[in-house]
Amino acid sequence: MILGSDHVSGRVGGVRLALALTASLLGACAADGPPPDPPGPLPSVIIENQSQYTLLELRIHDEADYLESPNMIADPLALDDHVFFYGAGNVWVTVFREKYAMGPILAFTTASPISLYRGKGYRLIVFDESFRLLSEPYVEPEAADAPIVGGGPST
Amino acid sequence: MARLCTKIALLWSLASVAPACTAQRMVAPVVPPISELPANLEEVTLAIRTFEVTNQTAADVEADGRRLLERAFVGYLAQAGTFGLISRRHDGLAGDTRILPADAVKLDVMISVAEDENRTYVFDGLFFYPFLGTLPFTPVWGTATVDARMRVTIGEEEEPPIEVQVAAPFSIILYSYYRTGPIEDAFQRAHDAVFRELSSRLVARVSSRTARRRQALAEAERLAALDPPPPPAGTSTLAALGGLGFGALYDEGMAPSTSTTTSPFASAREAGEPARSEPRATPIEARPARPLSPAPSEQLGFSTSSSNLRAGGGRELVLLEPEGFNVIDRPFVRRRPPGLLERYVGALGGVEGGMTGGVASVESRATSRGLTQTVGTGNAVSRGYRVALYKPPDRTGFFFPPIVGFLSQRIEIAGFREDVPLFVPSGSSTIPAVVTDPDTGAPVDLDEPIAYNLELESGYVGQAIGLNLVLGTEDVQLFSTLRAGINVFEVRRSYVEIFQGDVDVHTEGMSVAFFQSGSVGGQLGLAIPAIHTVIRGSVQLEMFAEFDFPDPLEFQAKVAFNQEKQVFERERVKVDAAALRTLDWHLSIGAFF
Repeated sequence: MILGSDHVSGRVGGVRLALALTASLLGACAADGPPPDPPGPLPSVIIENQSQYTLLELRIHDEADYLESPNMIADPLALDDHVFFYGAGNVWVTVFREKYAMGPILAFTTASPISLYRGKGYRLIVFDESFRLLSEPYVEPEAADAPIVGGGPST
Repeated sequence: MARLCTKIALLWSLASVAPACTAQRMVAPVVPPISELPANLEEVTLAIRTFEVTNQTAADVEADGRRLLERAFVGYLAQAGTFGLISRRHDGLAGDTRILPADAVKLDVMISVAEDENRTYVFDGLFFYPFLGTLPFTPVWGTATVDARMRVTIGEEEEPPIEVQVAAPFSIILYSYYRTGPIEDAFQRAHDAVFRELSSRLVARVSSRTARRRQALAEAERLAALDPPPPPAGTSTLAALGGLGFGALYDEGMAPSTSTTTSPFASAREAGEPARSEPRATPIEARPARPLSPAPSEQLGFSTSSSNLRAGGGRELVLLEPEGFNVIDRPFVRRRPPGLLERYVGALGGVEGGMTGGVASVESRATSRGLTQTVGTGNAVSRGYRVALYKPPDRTGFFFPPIVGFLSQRIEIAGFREDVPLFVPSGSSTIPAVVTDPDTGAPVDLDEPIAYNLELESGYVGQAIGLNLVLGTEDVQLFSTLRAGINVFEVRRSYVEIFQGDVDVHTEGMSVAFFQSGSVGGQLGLAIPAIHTVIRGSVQLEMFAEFDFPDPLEFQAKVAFNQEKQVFERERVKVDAAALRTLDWHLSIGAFF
């Protein structure tokens, strides 16, 4: 089930309206120069688990504190499995996993926010004690081969 | 390679030389000085027909030990009794024209020597390798045995033989492969005891016969004095007596012999031997001038009744006591009967009290990326006091005790800290993670090692082998013991507690094991039997090869670079068991009976 598609369509429509209004204003005000290109789609982010542990929770939040953010995955993310996220802006990513079998659960948060830009594609790899952000071709929501989790905090 | 060849050559040389240090066995004892008046046996002629020895060594042959031994034996005979003549080598060889009296006492002596030897083998093995003949502590102990059989023939009548067997203990504590002195001393003591016994028994036997004969003679003379017929001229009392069995008798017609050729000690005196004073060459005192008529009911001369002879058969083994500081291979005999307390406590052997302590270690190993490595370790320390039954060893030798025991060990096993480097490939952005408690957001030390609380128990039975080495005297003894054993059968219980904050998570399981554990140990102590006191120290190492966990436990291997992921990480590994070792020590003082 694709969870964030309605929200994405609504936001796209709102953006177009704003652009149209802006273009009208600019057209009315400027006697010369072409109108700016409309903004690109929300970036696609493939969140892949390459750690040695099953990820119990995934939280994406726009500030460092994750305690109030909801879990974005319904089922634990197994080894080498991945999900899709569509969102832009500066976000922090937090995953929950156990320290060892039958051991305590710990939270691993990116030490600094990751910057997601519209129209781009990314791959965020989760390792045991670190994260790695790579550039990837943009993936249309309709072409996503894995669950899509939430949307970006900003438009 | 050159060093190996040198070692082999040295070992070969040692193996060749060591047996060459062979002790002499025919070690002539020193004839003791006269301590009491020897028996008066002037009318007796002794003749040593044969003096045979068996089981000589090459050293004996080279030193002409048989001849020296025979000379010493003659000296013992001369000390035990004042014989009329002691003749050697009167065995009727061709050319031997010596004529013995018909009733001379003829002896055929057969001496056999033997030696039994015991070693620890442990120190002997070390002596050869790796110490290559330089290890001084190579105890050897045993007994030197001399077995003597002396046939006694009086006239034509063969008496029951006199048999004596004497064993003398010996021991060599240091450099036993290079020394033979203590063994030769033991043989000398044994020969001394054998010769004393042979000579004293022979003298006793001959003396009893002589006394009976003299008594009969005196009686005959008394009877003759009542109404004696005059003897024919020229008839000696000897003829009238009808040959009473001894040749060198004096009668009223014979003068005491003063010729050196018939001196009783002529045969025994050789060059170098101290000259002894001549015996009394006088007639038997109180002998009547007339010949005696033999008592009608008594056959004069030697009685063949066994009741009149000292028992010559029935070999007795005489075991001499060790002298000085020796290896003790048999317990000392009590000099006095034990009291009530000794009997009561002695049934338990003894009791001791003292300090005890120990360390335990546990280790788990796993294979990660083809390398076997230690992933979890733990240590525990214990100290305390204990009271137990104990009796020190009283003899040297091997022993094979059964093992019955129980182990209960609580110990924590944990992984180890190691920093994980952050690798940043080009064209990527690698971001480290901040680790926190998901409930509170508080920082957490991710590098804190994984740890579990273990409770390991084992009840076991097995078999051990031990070696006691007891040195000393009857009053003070130094003892040591080496022991090794294997546990044949075990019933084990494992309890694992996993740390999860306030939550108690644990697993538990039982299992059986065969030949999976063992122990080695030793003790060193001082025993003073005179005051029933023993002081000792001991150590024991127990090893349990694979103490199974009820469920596999997780640890982290060493940091390694994952080429595929392009990241440093510590691989998660699971272990099913741990090796457990315990080292215990005791220092104690006790009382024993």
